[in-house]
Amino acid sequence: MARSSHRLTWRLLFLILLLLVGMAGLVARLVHVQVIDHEYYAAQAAEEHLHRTVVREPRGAILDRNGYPLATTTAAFDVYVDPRSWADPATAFAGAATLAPILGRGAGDLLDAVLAFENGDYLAARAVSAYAGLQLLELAPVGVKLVETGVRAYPESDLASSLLGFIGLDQVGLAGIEAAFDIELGGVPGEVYFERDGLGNPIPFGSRLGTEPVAGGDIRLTIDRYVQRLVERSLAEAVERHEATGGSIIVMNPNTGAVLAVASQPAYLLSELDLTDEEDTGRYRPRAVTDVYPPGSVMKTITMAAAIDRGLVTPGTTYVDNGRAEVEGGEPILNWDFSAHGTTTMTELLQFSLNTGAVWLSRLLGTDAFYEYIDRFGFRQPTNSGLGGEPSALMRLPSDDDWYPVDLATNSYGQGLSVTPLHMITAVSALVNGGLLMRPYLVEEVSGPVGRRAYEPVVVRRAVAEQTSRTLVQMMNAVVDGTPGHLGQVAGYSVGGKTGTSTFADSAETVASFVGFAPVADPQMIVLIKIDGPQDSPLGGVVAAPIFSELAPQILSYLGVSPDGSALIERAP
Amino acid sequence: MILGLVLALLVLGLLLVYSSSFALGILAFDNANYFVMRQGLWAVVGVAAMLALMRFDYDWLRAVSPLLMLVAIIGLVAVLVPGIGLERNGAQRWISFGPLSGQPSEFAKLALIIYVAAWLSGKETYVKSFALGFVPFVLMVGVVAGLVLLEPDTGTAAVLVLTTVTLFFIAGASLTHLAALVGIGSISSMFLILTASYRADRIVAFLGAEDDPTGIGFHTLQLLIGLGSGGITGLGPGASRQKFFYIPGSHTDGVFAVLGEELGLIGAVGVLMLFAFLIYRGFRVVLGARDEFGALLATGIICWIAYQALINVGGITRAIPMTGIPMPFLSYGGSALAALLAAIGILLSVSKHATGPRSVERERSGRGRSPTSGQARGVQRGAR
Repeated sequence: MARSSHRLTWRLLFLILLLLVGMAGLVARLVHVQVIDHEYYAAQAAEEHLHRTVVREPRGAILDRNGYPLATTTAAFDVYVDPRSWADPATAFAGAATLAPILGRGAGDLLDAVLAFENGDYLAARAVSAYAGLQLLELAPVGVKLVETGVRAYPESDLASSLLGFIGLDQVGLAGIEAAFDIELGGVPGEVYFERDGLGNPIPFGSRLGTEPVAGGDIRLTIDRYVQRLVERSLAEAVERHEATGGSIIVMNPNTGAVLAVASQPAYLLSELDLTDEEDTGRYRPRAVTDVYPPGSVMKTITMAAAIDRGLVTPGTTYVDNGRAEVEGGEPILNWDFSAHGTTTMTELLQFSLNTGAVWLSRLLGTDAFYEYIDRFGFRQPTNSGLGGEPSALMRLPSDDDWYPVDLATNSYGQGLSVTPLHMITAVSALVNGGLLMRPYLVEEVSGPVGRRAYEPVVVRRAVAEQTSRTLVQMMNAVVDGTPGHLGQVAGYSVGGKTGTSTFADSAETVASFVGFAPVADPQMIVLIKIDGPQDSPLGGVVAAPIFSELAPQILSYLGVSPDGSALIERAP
Repeated sequence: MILGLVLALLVLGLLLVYSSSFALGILAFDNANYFVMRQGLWAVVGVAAMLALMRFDYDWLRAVSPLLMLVAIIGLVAVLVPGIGLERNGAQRWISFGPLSGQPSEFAKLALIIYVAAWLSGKETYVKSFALGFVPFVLMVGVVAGLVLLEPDTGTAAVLVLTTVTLFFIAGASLTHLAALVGIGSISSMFLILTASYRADRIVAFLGAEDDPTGIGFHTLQLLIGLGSGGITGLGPGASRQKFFYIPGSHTDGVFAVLGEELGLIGAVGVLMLFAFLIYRGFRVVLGARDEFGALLATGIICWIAYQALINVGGITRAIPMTGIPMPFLSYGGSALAALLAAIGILLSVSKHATGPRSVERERSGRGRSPTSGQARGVQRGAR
């Protein structure tokens, strides 16, 4: 020790002291950062690492009744660029040059946009195709991140757009079936907190908290893509031919309530969907289910059924039509053609569609009985088809302060009240199927990882006796097939039906409609057609009935219903 | 003892390099072991050099020191030549040798320490002279530091200057001359900071990282978040989160932050204590050195390690502004590790061929070198 101590010069001591002070300072700083400020930095780390994300299983498909997909989800990628990785100009140019052509953007624009972006990762493109995504994975440009996502694909293109509806960017159904059956299709999203690395990816062994998503399933509709396409084409042609403002067609199985096709106009096309256009939001609802209209003379079948069901009249019962019906506290009611037919049978009442006859029937029934049948046919509730936004009928009831006897009179022939097309076709179905009011439905089956649920036809209630139904089928057959020159007649099939011509209360717009079914012996198909504001003729018999005549044989033969050799064929020259 | 400490640091360093680099290895090279394999290869080279150098008497270094210096300068010039030097991250610091690449500046550190130690120990009477001591010293260090600055590598230049100035000081330089050196150093630092925005940014980040947490302050704050979130006991070996692309250079200059995050205050202070112990043992070698050349060599090597460790940890803990200096033995960087291990070999040689308290008996009985120890004592007296 003696030898070494003499070498310990003050200069060496100074150096040792300097290093000691430095070391002590670092230990002090470490204590400060790691012990005193630990909570602060731990919180900062958590804020930086923990990332909340909503995770979903891929959305289920929407299929037609035979399993053909109408809407499916295909893999896609959202493309992000981390501007920090593009700080170096050479890297940035190379990255932009690789990325831009795949995204179909200009390299210069992309570069400027990325470098100008300051809030984390720049979303360069949303939902690029899986093909483009795989190309990017292969090329792996610096700073480019791909986030797997799903994009809705429509194999049948714009078929049933307004019924299917659409989903938002957050994968939540916003309209139509997509909205009404959002949970069935999309499942329950999971909310996951995970630790992510500086590039935004989960850290391999990092903690992962939260709830896992529950998968949704596929929905098989009652809709038939062939019938749907026929109906959409017919409706579009009719709206154009009659320069109408819109319209609806529904095709249903009257025995089950299953809807085979539903179309309405005005509508939108999925291929031209632009959610940024707020003006367009009115187009997104399935109008045949959500919008009401005055059903007009089609309602006379309901009034007639009520009177027959009560045993008040039979098809042969007569009344005297003098062309006008006096109403307490109102203008007298006239027939649509201002005619007077004298002594008239009940069948003729429907054939000539006499308003005075409907008023006569409603008086015979009485107020209470008439509104009881309105209730029995389901007009006072939504039909509960499962689609959202379904209203009850808009009408005044005797219990309302503003109800007057004139309301009973006008309601009897379908004015002064408004119902949805789905209401009307459901009610007439009960008339022709043996008297049972069915709940209309659009979904046949939901199947997914959690199981399979089939929807069975639901009888809401018996509306009229079976015999009443049989009688009405015969009377409605007489209305069409028994009226020479009726435009609702169908080549090869016996049919029944009733036209309607009405006027919206709040506008001068007329509605031409027709409800028809076939074959008469055992109705398998019922169709409601309504055209809003036709310019050439307001009459249901002129505008709507021919559409039925054209559609019915195509649908019936597609459904495998054999022609039943109607009188029309036999009479044909 | 020194050998044990160094091997402990070496093993810890390899574990840390693996822990902090596997994510980057997978991302960039699809190989988690990419960095640790290279580091391991260099470690083998370094340990071989260390074992070789410790066996020989360090005295031969005095003779070859001008040659070493020449090779170092050629290397530093060559690295600046496009085509020979490799550019990475905007700096030209690397020369590749087949699959490996190395930094000539790491070799230059060792060469300059040997050269300056040899020069100072041979010129004991001129050290205080302006023309024969100060001027040649400034020119010598200035040329090497200047070349390193051209790469640019401010951190390495700083370590070079600090270490050699310390040797100048220990060898007995005039305090007036040292004051002038401090003045020159301060002015050059100001000049360097003002002429390059990235250097100025470091100062801005040091003073106000929170004002721009995603930009200038990002690096500083990410290091502190790593260190601070480790707490006293750390998140556990391998459990750093910040190494996943938050800390820039988590396996190189930032490795100490990963250490602090994974092993906590206990690990961080523990490693500093290992360094402190190594430095303490280093000064024992200085005090027991046979001659002034050995004493200065040992001092230079200790200062090199100590300064780098202090500046690196100081920057990470935000005690001083950040400079891009790797942590000795722990940071990824093969040529730096090999150069350090070679230096440790020289330190061990100085220790082995000493006449100090522990080894004097062995020296006397073994090789009978007592006359040289007397010479060394005389040197020290002269220096005082």
